[in-house]
Amino acid sequence: MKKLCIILALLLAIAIPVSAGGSGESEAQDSGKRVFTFWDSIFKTDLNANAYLRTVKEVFEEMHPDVELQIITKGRPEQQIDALTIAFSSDDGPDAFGYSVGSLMDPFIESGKLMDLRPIIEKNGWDKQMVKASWDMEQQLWGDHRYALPIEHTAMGVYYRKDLYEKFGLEVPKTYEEFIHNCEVLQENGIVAIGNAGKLPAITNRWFDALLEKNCGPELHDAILNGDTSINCPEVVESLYELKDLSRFFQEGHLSAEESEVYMLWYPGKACHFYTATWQADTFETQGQDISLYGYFRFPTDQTPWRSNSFCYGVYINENTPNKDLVEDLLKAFASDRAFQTAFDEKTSIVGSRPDVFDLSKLDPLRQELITDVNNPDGSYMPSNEMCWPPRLTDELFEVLDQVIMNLMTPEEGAAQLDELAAEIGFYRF
Amino acid sequence: MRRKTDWTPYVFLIAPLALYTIFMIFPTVYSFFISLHNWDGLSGVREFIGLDNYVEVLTEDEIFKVSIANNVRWAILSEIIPIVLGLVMAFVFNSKMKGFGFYRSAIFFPSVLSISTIGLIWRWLYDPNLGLLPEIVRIVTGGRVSFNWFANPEHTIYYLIIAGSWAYSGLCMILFMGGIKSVPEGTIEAAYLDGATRMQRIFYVILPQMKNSINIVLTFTLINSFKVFDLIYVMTAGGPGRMTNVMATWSYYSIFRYYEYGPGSAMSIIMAIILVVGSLIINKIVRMQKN
Repeated sequence: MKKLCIILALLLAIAIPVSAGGSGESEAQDSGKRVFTFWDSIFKTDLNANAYLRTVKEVFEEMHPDVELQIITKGRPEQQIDALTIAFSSDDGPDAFGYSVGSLMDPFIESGKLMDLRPIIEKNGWDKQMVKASWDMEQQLWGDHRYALPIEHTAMGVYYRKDLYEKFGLEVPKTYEEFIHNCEVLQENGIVAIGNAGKLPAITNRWFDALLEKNCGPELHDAILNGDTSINCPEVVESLYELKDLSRFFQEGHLSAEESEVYMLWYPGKACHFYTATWQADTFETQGQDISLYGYFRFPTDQTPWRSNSFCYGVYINENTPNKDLVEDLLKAFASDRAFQTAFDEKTSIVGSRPDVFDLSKLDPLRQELITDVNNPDGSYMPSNEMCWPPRLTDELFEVLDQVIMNLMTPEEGAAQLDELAAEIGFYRF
Repeated sequence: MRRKTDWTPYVFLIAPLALYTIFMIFPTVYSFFISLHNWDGLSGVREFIGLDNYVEVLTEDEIFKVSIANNVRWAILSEIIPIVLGLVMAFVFNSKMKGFGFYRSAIFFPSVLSISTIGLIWRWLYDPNLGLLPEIVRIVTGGRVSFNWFANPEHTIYYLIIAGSWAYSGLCMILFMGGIKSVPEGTIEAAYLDGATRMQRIFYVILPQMKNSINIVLTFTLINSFKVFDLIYVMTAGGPGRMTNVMATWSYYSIFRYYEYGPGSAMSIIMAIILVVGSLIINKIVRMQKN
């Protein structure tokens, strides 16, 4: 008996360390198929809800019946990026993954973890099929390299309650002055003019970006985003002043509010404006809202060209994937007409990067305005958060925005603080 | 004659030791190793820079200083609020009176909730537009005073500590009840017969015999207060203006958001050192009082 116990204990001692370093390839062996792994966030991987990804899987597996496209959820986007960092740091990254197109990918690119997809993209002519603004964004970020195949393109602007506009006799603003006038009228009538989910500073930042575009104009704005000129300039200071002024229209306690808390004011008509993205139309439907109550307008920047604020989401490929022979076919599945069309037909989703395959006559008025903004011929600018700036500078900006709004810092001090950090971390290119 | 060694207990210790080595010793040693390097976590290039990360973190990183201050506030207040509350409630509810069982369960209940749930509950309670607490303040003051937990970011950390203490007090109460029950009834009765009042019995008979329970609760509380992460992540994400960061959140952001593995690991090691020293001091104090 004693010997048996000792043998069991020894087996346990061996089994525990071995299982702690267990391999993730067991599922591949179970199904007997080759596996191509694709990681994405929880917002994308529910194949019942995401007709696009479901169709991509179908198209890819039809091309390769002996291969399984294994779609793996990695939590919320911030958890997914942690998982990617850990996996790639031990050279155990997935074959492919989906993530926003932005500077958050820079560390992966700089350490040679991601494949330059430009040859495949040009060979297949996707550079001519997909929303031009997506490619412009990659050009701005990574020069002539293309590390992402853009699959979603999203414009951001101001959603408003049509019923409140009607009730108070307001017109959709064409200038910033008109927008401020509308906010004042709403506030005088006891309505929260702007719902702001400030716990996520990226949302407050949308207003700041819009003000930057208004005060800088396209050329200077892009130069600031690219690190080609100092952040400590009068236009940035002016934008911080205007953000502080604009915050008088935000709901009380907006700095601790999440989106859901804004919806609780917005949906019953207690708040009027919310600065958000194309996907909001889909969110209205998911949350049982009457979509006809809402309208959308591009933030009035008083500039020519009148650019939109937009960003995109893409598919990245692991440079060291052992499944290199499958990469092009996977991207073909992601770029296929069928995948985008299915998503459009099933959910009227217009976030896909190929509006050329959508039947736009099927769209409701709100989505028509949104798709017009996505295809804005005047072009678009990137958000100054981690889509464009390095995370350290982004977080510093978020801190500055909060502190300026709370009167803990002057706009001049804020611009100087950003400038100092940008120089310290080598963001500037001049 | 040489005594034969019985190896059986040692063999059984191999499995837990293997687990402890894999999940505790190795990560700690590896963190220390990384803290001596300049590394982005992704590239294969690691530059050995000695203690530079420690110097940088301790002298130049302003947010780290804010984080330490917040951790100290958290440690001090959570050594006071939940422990005092827990102790008082333990004495109050440590009786067989009818209905007290319900109160004990109700007070203990928050301890079994996940930290994210606690965070969400308190975010809703504090919400300036929809929250219960601002509404109570509004009603009581006839609308003259408004309550906004984010209005002064230097004070926001205290609202988080209150939320954390609420959840932890119930656990302290249960631990102290265990301590009270371990005091022999004969001793208490003897004090009673000698004419000791209820307060004298508590302070001179029961509390001195609860030193072990108090030591455990103090040490656990100290460790928990320095490890706090989830509640802050859920309630404020370190904001507004990064003023509610603690060492754990700032270390996390440094490593996973800024790819600064060296400084982030140095912060973890500093935190570990503070914890070990703090625990030793508490142990020493309690032992000295015992002697």
